[in-house]
Parts: sequence; structure tokens; C-alpha cells
Amino acid sequence: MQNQEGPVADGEKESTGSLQTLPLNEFELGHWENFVDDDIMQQQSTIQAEEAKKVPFVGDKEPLSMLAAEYEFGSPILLEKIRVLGDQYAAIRRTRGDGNCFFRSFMFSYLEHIVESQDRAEVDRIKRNVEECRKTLQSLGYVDFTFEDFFALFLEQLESVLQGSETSISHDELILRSRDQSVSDYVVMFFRFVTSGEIRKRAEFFEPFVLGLTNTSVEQFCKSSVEPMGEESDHVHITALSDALGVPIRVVYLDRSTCDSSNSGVSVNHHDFTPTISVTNPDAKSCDTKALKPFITLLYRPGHYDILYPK
Amino acid sequence: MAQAARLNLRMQKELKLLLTDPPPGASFPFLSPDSDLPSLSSIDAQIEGAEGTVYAKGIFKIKIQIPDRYPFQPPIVTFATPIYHPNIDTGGRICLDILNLPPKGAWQPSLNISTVLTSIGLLLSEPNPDDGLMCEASREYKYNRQAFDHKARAMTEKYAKAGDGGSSSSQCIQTMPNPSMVEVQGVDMGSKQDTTGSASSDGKQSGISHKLSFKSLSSTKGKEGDSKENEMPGHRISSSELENQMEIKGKRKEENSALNECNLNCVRPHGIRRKLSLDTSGQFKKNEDDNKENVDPNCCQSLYHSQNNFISPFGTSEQQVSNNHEQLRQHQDDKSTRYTRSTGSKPCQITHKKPLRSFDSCQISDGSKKKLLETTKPFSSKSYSLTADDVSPIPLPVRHGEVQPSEDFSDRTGNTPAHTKIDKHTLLGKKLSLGFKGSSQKQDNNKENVVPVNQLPLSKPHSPFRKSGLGCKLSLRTLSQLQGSKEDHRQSENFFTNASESLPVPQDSRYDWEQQPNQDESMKTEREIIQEHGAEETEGPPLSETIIVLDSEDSEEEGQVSSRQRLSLARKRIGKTIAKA
Repeated sequence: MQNQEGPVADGEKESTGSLQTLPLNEFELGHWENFVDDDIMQQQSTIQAEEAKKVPFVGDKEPLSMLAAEYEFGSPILLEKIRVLGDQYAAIRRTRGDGNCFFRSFMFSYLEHIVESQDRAEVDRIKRNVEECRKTLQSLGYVDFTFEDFFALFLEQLESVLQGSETSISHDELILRSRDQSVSDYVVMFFRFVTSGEIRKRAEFFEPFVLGLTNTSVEQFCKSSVEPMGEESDHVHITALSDALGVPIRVVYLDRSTCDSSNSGVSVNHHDFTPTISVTNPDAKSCDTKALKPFITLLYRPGHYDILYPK
Repeated sequence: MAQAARLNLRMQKELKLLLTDPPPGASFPFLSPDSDLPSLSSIDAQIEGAEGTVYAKGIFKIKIQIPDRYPFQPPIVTFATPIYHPNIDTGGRICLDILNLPPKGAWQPSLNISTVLTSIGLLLSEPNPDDGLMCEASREYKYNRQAFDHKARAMTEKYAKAGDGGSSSSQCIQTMPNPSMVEVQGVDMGSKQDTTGSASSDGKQSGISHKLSFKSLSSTKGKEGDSKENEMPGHRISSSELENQMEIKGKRKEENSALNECNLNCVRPHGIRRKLSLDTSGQFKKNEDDNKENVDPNCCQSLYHSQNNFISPFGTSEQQVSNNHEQLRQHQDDKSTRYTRSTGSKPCQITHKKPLRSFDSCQISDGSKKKLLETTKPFSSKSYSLTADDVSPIPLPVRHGEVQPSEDFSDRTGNTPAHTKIDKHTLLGKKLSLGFKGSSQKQDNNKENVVPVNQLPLSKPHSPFRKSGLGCKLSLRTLSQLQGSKEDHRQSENFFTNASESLPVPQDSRYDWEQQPNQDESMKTEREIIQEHGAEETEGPPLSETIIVLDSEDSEEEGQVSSRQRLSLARKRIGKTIAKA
């Protein structure tokens, strides 16, 4: 009995050991697979949280000098460009770099423009465009309720920035709302819907651009790069949004490229996204003058958009 | 606040659409257009498996939870009905891109519940094995479609059939807590995160404990394998008695603790005693699996593992253990349909439901009476198992297969058809054949074993076989007893007598030395079984003692008891089948 138990005990140890470690490994392995994805998600949310601490969805207006300070020890080209920018632009308003910066910048910039200009004609015009977009989405097979909340929220904001009604809001309130995720995100999503609808509607036009950008189909591009929140915008998005809403957008590019358009030194290049005048829009002509002069100016640094204020 | 209101509004619209224009195959039995739906954050849906797929005619319950930030965040969708699918794990989690936010997934706020359900419906029709959540299922889907189809159908049949709503729902609930069971098992050595994991690992331990008892017994006798058989009943009884009593006490305690956890948690800390109980559960599981054969696809794997675990301890050396493992892998790799289905959930369920029972049976049988174990277990599992179809002989062959490396393959494959297709009426005959097969296998196995392992270790592998052979016989009888229907009854009786008399003959030739003990044992075991059943039927606690007593004395009443028992059993069975039908 005694001598038998010894080896048995050993066997027990061994077998349990091997049997337990093996599953454990599998267990961990299985976990690891999940971990990779979860890690990505976690890291992303960490980054976002950090960003959130640094910058609200929409920041405060800052003089351009703040921007220069950021690059104090940076590329001389950038510093020079910022100096050049200072000739034309007075201030910058940062937006959070969460992948929605373009849409958020556009949102705030546009609504701020309405608050300041109280341009009812523009509001009426864009409302017509919004209705157009709604039809576009419907014709593309979107289920109404998937986008109507977002449309409703944007129109609500549009109404409220026009003074004179009960729901009117001040400029400060606009900032607050833009920093409120439950409003801000909805509006951003509204723009994403509009953009996606426009790209799909004019798929043949956008296809080459999309192909050049991501080498996917238009459909796939919209699914993966336009509609999901946090997907960064590129010129395809901007073009589509500008076209869909009929709002011209100027983007000023601040990068280290030496744009020696003139031999005298660096200059800051910009691109105006001017809405293509759609034939179906009877008000196209009346918008002409506005279309030529963008009232939305965004500062592009690789990977990010902020709002620029001209002098 | 505003967002909550908006979400509420949106959800109401969504629900309206879901009800008026449900996605293909989906239904919402718990939603009605009039209801307020106070909690819109959770929706219960059902999806019907598409015609022409392995999930056809299955109704799968799906739980949809709506996060606060919906639609910016995707709904959390899980299957509440167990399903065998490469992209759906045992916890019901679904691997579907649109259910996750980018960059991992492809959720977009423009999607909605309807589109999600449509996608899930498509996923059922078109699994994506390249992005499998379930390794085993994915592999099978890709490389052994037949096996996959079979398992998936069996799972569908078992869990997702319309009509047995009540039971299926209870199943769901129970399976939910142990996600990953199948998943992990699929990986290879089944380590389950929770219940099953511990169960299986414990199973190993229990196997070891068996070994221990085995050894001690054998040591007294000198010859290990043979000694067991040759041992006098009385001798056995005494040892087993002690153990039984102890164990039973332990059991009681356990039982008192939470049912679900008793297997897992309690077992570990208490050492061998507990392990033993575990063992029973494990074996119980095995039987379960076997019983479920037709029904249950996943079963096999967990079984595999557990079985291997059990068995490996019997194999004396570590080497053997490793061999077994390898075998295991091989088996898995070659993926033939045969025994590979054990729903992790099933065993758990059963043990949950009747922890006491399983424990008891195991305890009783524990110790020296391995044979008993085998025979009794099928019994107990039968009486308590959910499915009416049981194939008691099967477990034993399975064992053979597991223990025996090379030959078993062939044996197994041979046996497989019989296992898989069990018809109520043909059941008997098949079982008979099976039983015989078992015995014949026994011979082969013995030969094999003897050659390489004549020394110490030999006896251990040996003994399981022998046991299994016996077990087959016994179980056959039990089966026949169980075979409740009238027509069958006669048959079974015939068979019964036949079996008891005829079966030993072949064994005779093989094991001369064994013959006498064998018969004794078979008789005894039968008696015990009956005894046990009687005890169980009356009540749990007294069981052990009665058994012991009966055992020790050669009771003449056995005949009477058995017949009575048979009848009652038969009744039971009938009742069960009816209920099932």
C-alpha cells in the first residue's frame, strides 16, 4: 500500500500538472486573441480620453500666436507658414482630434456663422438642401428612422441659432451645445449621413477619388470611412459635404511642404471646396456670390482640422 | 437626458418597424405594438433557421441589448439558444463585424436592429469560418463539412426546436453562464473558463483518485488488473463501503451548498473525496454524452477531454497520458463524427439539476467497484437525463476507443454507425451487437496491451477494457430492462436471459481466470444497480447504506426486485419518451 501510493501521488501531480497547464495555455491563448482587439479598443478609448482632457469637442478661440508657440522648436517651414498665415488670419479654434474634427469644425463654423450673420436666406437655402439630402437617403434605401433623428437635431440647431424665437441660443450656448456630446455627435452624424448620401448618389463621380484613396468600392467606402463615427475625413468627404449642403469650404494647408509658388519664400496654399451647382437647385444662382467666397475656413494639419478665423 | 429621450424615441420607431416589417425569419414574441415597453434597452427576438441550412426549423432566441449611446454604439446581441456555428460561441456571443465599433468592427449609426438581425440571419446561412470564433466548428465547417452539418443539426434539433420552449429556455439560461465551453474545447484540450473547465480538470483528478483506489486494491492482491476481478465481493465491499459513507457525507454538504457550484468549487478544495465526486460527474457527463449522441453535437469534445482525462490516469505512466493527449488531438483532427459531441452545457445542466444523484451513484460505485460505476452510471444518467434515448452500452466502447490508440480507431469507426443511428425499436438489437462488439474488442485490446505492457502498467489499461466489456454486458441488460414498451419488454427479457448466460461464454474463452468473477460481478452489479435505483427512487440519503447491505449479503430477492424495478423503470422510461414526444 505504502509504496504504491508514492508513485501514484507522483502520477497525480504530473498528470494534473500537465492537464491543467495545457488548458490554461489554451485559455490564455483564447484570451489573447480577444485581447488584441480589446487592446486596440482600449488604447483607442484611452487616446480619446486623453484628447478629451486636452481639448473639448470644440475649443476656445485662440490667437494664432498660440499655434506658433506650439511649433517653437519645430520645423522652420511651419513657423514661417504660421507667420504667413498671420497676415490673413487672426485666430484659431481647436477641435478635438477624435476623427470627427472636420465635421465638428464644419458644424461649429457654420452655426457660428449663422449666429453672427443671422442670414435667414442661407438658413432657408440649407434647409432645402437638407430636405434634398433626406430624399437622397430615402432613395438610397436608408430606413427613415435611422437618420431622421439626426436630421431633426441639426434642423433644431439651425433654428435655434437664428435669433428671435423662444429657442434661440446665444453664441456661448452654441459653444456649450457643441461641447455636449449628445448634441455634437448627433450633428456630426447628420453630416456623415449627408456626406454618405451624396457620395453614393454620385457614385460614378466619386468612384475614382474613392479608389485612389482607399482602393475600395464607393459602397464600401461609405460603410467603412464615412458613416462610422470617428472615421477621419478626406477631400472626398469635404467635397461631398460641400456639394450636398451647398456650402463652400476653404481649407488651408499647414504642412512642411515648401509651396514655392513664388520664389520669394513659402506661402500657405489653400483649397476652396466650392459646391458644384446642381441643376436641380433653383436657388443656385442666388447662392452664387456666397459660393464664391467661403465663409468657412478650416486649418488642415496632416491628420487634423481646426477652425480658422480670418482677420 | 435629451439623448435618453431621443434614444427612447428612436427605439420606439425601431420596434414599430421590427413589428410591422420584421427581418426575414425574425419574430418578436415578447413585443407587441401596444405595449409601453418600459425597458427599451432589451429586446428578445427569435430567428428561424433558413430552410435548406443546417439550422432549418430551429428557432433561435436572441437577446438584444441597447446601449445608452445607441445608435452610436452597436447593440449587444447574443444568442440565448445554444447553436453550433463557427461564428457563435457557447456563450452566444456573435462574431459579426457590424456588432462592433470600428476599428475592430463595422458598426455604423446608420444601421439598426433590423439590419443587425438580417445580418445575423445571413450569418446563419453563410458562416464565416475564416473569422471563426469557434476553432473547432470553423475547422469542421471548412474541412469536414459533414461533421459540422451533423453537429449543427443535432444542436438545432436539441435546443432550437419549436415546441419545447420551456425546456429550451431553461437550457439557455443554464448554458449562458458557461460561455466558451465549447469554444475552448474546440481549441484542443478543453479547458473551460468556468464550469466545464473545472469539471474537466477535476475529472482528471478524479480519474487519478480512481487510480489510487485501484492501486491500493490491486496492491493488496499482487496482480493488479486481475486482482480486482478476482477479489472477493466482500473484500471490495468493505473498502468501498468506507469510501462510500465518507463520500456520501461529503456529498450531503455539497448538496446543501449552491447546486451549480457544488461540482466546481466544492470539489477542488476537498481533495480526493471531492475529486471522486467530480469523477462521477465527469463520467456522468460521459454517459450523458453518449446518451445524447444523436441529439447533441458538441458533446463529444468535452467528453473527449474528460474521458481522456479519466482514462489517462489509468494508464500508468505519464507517457501514456501524453499518448492519450496526442491521441486526443488526432481524434479531433480526424474529426470523424463519432463521439464528438458533448455539449459542455449538457453535463453541467445535468449535474446542476441532480448533483446529488450523480454524486451518489458515483460514490457508490467508487472505490473498488469500477465496474459498478460504469454500469450504474448509465443507469442513473438514464433515469435523470433529459433525453429519453439512452445508449448505455455506448459509453463503454467509447472508453475503449479512448484508451486504445490504434485499434480503437477502427473499432470506433465500426461502431459509429450503430451509435449514431439509434432507433427506438432497433435499439435493442444494435445494442446487442454493440455489446458483443465490446467484448470482442476487449479481446483485441487485451492482446495489444499485453504485448507491450506486460509489466506493471499493463494491468491498468487492461482493467478498463475488461470492465468495459463487462459494462457492455451489464449495460445491455440494463438497457433491456429499461426498454419499457411492451413489445420490447419481451424481447428485452429474452435478451436479458440470453445476455447473462451467453455473454460470459465468449469471455470465458478469453479470460479463463476471469470467468467466475465475471459472472459474480455481473450479478452483483446488476443487483446493485437495481438496488441503487430502488434507493434512488425512494430517497437519496439512505441509498448508500442499503446498497452496501445488499451487496454484502447475497440477496435472493434480487430477482424479484429486478423485475419490479424493471417495470418501474420501464414506466419511467415510457413516461419520459412520451413527455419528450
